[in-house]
Amino acid sequence: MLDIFLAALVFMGAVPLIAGCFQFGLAGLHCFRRRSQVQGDIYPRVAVVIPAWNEAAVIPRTLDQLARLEYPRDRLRIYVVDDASTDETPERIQAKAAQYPGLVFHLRRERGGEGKAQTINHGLRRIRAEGWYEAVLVIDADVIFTAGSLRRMARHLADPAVGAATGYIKEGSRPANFMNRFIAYEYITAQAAARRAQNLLGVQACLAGGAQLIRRESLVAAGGEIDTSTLAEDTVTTFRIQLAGKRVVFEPYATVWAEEPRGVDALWKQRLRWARGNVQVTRMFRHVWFRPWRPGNLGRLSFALIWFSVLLMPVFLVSASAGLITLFLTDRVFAEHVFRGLWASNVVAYLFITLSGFSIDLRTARMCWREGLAFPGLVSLLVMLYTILPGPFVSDGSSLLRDLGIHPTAQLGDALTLFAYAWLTVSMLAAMAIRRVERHRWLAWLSAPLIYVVGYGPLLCAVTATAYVKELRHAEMRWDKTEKLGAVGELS
Amino acid sequence: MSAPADLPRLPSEPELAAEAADEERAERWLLVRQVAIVLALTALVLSRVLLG
Repeated sequence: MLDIFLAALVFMGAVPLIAGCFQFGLAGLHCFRRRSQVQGDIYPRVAVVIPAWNEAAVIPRTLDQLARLEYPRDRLRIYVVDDASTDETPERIQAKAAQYPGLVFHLRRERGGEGKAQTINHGLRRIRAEGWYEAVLVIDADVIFTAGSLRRMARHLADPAVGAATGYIKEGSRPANFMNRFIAYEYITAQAAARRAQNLLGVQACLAGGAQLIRRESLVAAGGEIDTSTLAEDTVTTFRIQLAGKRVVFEPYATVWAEEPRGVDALWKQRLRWARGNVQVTRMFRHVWFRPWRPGNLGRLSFALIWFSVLLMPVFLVSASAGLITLFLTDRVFAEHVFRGLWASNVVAYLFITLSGFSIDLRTARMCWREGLAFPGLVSLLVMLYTILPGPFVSDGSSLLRDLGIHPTAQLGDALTLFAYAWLTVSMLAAMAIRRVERHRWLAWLSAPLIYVVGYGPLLCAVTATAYVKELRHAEMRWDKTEKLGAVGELS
Repeated sequence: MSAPADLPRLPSEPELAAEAADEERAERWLLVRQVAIVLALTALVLSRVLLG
């Protein structure tokens, strides 16, 4: 009985990948989505709100690109909310306001530093007072909208059941370094695939912060302003719109390019903010989970599987490691069977998710296929290889060890076995250590190869685990702004 | 404001129709590729199970 319980603990480690397969499977069925989602082109009057704090390097290009949108000029207004910037942001915005009169407006907050949500709300109060808008588009200061992106998002608002639409944010830094390529692949999975799946389920977890097109009535129904009590204001808006009875949809062909972090530490800060926000949202909407009768499909089991498979991923991984190590101490043979069963399912899920990811966005895959393959890390790939080919793996490994002058003993075998059993948890600790390595003056160069060894996935899990700790400690909510240098290349 | 010649041209009805057709075709191809991946993986798993 204890063995069965421990095996169940171990197989919890497969839940995130099963949820991943579920989403990728649904993504392939996206061609059967509700036809009412695409209704032909309409052009509601859109007020674009751009929060900007020290964005001099990126804001001119963002505005130029918005001015080139395939959208009627008389139905578009762009409000840049300058959050008391201390660089040349105000001058750059004013220059663009002069270049595009009637299109670009500069709103200045003299007292800034209250966070992105407060900055957006400053802009929303202004556009509500004007009353001109039919929809609001909230974007980041660094994102580059492709010409047809807003038009493609706006067409969904022709359906009165749709309250908001979002686009496909893609990593656009050029030249792309290792981290940019990992993020590019991650966005295939987290956006192109997951959001297609969520379109089919009739529920979206989050409007991408860089591209949120919200119908006026839905914004009002969601409280008229952006939530300032959490670090995930975009997710709160998304939930509120859906709980108010409107659909939120993802438009995969509305491409929006963004500049993402180039290093482990910068990624850590950004993702810790997102992960803490997700923990806060989970708590804030605790009356919604597992209640399928709630509006907006947020309470459905399928959505809970998607949401909690990400949120609880560290728990699942620790559970798997703990179960395997306990089994190793009680029944080694059974432990080996369970271990190989877990990793065999991981192999199949990994192949399905990776190949499907590549097939969803072939263009991005050409750039980041190595990072897609290395997403779980080379150590995990070796464990997968052992699972598929245990015989050759052991004999070749033993030969290699002998060549290195190490005699494979039973103790060494036990140590390697325990390492493999504990790896799902150890990988998170190793990912945390890479962040420290990157901060070290002489060792920083090692952080890139180490990410390939340990894995980008474990890095994200480590961030989520840290988010739990921060929330339990009621740590201060900080807006660690991701520095943007204007690295988005010439993209279409 | 920029000169009118700089204003973005809105796509015509036929262009929009062609764009919608392209998007639908891309989504159908996505399904085809997914099915191919599922079949290939199923064959791989079955061969592994049946052939040991």
